[in-house]
Amino acid sequence: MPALEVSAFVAAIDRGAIPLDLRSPVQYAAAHIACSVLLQFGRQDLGDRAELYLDKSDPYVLLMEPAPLGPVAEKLLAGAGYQVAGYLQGGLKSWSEAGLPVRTMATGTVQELQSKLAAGESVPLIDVREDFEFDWAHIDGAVNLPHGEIWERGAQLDHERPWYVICNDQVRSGAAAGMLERLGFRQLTLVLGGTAAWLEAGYPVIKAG
Amino acid sequence: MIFKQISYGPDGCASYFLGCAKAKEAAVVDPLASVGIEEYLMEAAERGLAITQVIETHTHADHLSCGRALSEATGATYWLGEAARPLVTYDFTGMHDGDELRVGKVSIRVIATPGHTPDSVCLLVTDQARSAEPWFLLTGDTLFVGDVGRPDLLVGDRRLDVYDAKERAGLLFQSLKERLLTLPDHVEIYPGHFGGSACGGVNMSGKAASTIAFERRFNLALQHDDAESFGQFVVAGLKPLPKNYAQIKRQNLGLKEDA
Repeated sequence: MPALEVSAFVAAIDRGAIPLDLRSPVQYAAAHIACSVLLQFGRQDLGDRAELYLDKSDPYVLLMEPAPLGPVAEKLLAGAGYQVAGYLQGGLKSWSEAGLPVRTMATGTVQELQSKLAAGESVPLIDVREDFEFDWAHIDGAVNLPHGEIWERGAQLDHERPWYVICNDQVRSGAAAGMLERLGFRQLTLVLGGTAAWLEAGYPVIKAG
Repeated sequence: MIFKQISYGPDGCASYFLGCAKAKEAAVVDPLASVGIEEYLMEAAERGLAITQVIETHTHADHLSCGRALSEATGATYWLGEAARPLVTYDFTGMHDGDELRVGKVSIRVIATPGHTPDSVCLLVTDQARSAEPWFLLTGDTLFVGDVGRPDLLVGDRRLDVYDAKERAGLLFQSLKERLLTLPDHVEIYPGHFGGSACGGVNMSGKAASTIAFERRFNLALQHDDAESFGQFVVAGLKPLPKNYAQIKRQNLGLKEDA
């Protein structure tokens, strides 16, 4: 259950470990390790949520901040049956200080999204909430691709398009965007505040039935 | 807003986690070493919040704080009443009466309430998303549910050479009557201790929250109209001194690093 220095962390990735980023979607968007999967930390349900996306036959290495939560996250995931090779000592700072590249992801607010749509721009939008949530209320033109089906169905979408990704806040959309990035999508925008913020702003939605 | 009382039962200590989900910021008030910094970090991490403020209502004499460690782990500003400046050996950002700290839409107004200690403050919290009226008050060890803070824990503070227990009781009376009981009835009270804590007297309730109106009417200590009879009442109802309090206080003041 080790804290891994950057070189050991990179070596584990080279041997096939998947980097799993447990920070917030906002932190992930600001800077993250290429092809890491994003799953916001949760003490009660981290293992349960991991099972929605992550195969227990793969090995993982973790990125968690602040530093004292590295071993906590590792213990939670190992307890849920995951093979965890360790966590990055010093967090993303040590990665950057080693001269290794980071990737960013665009973020946007519901206000920005609404003004684009109101101006008649074509905005490709993926809503990753469950289908019953989508039916209850969604933004006109959104495609429903539930977050638990990204690995299976994500490749059906055109990865060249500049997709906006939305959920109810930004936790599931962040996880979905991370998976889509791993599938080769490069022009993603994470909508912060999600459908809840959209509704709170009083913007129009489509209701099924 | 996000608000959670995080208590440690065996000592009857309470700490508080406040946050704004929109701004993704949080403050922790009186973090407890017995709870550990991981607990507070997890509260923030699982909500995607960054802890930006760590606030002490005073330097504690009955339990160890993990405020400085939490501030170091997060980069949060570490706040302590400015009156603690000559008492402690470490650096902090001083709070003055009337200061307003912000956590997104949540504002935290500092009310200087010397008495239990010279650096005691109460924190009046307003959720601007709900109302411009204050919603609740974190009272530290100044006002408890059913009781008031004790004025006789003088270790370290003697370096100021200003207060004795009787003077402290007078200051406490003034702080309570003039600064706290003048707040609106609806303001809720969340204290630094409840139940069997040794930081108050024998009338401290096991209930961990109250309101200004209820305490104004039913808190026995607050039924006294002058500082002298208030002081006599409080001193008569004191419990034994908290175990190891002098050592704990010294450590919280930075005078001694290890217990």
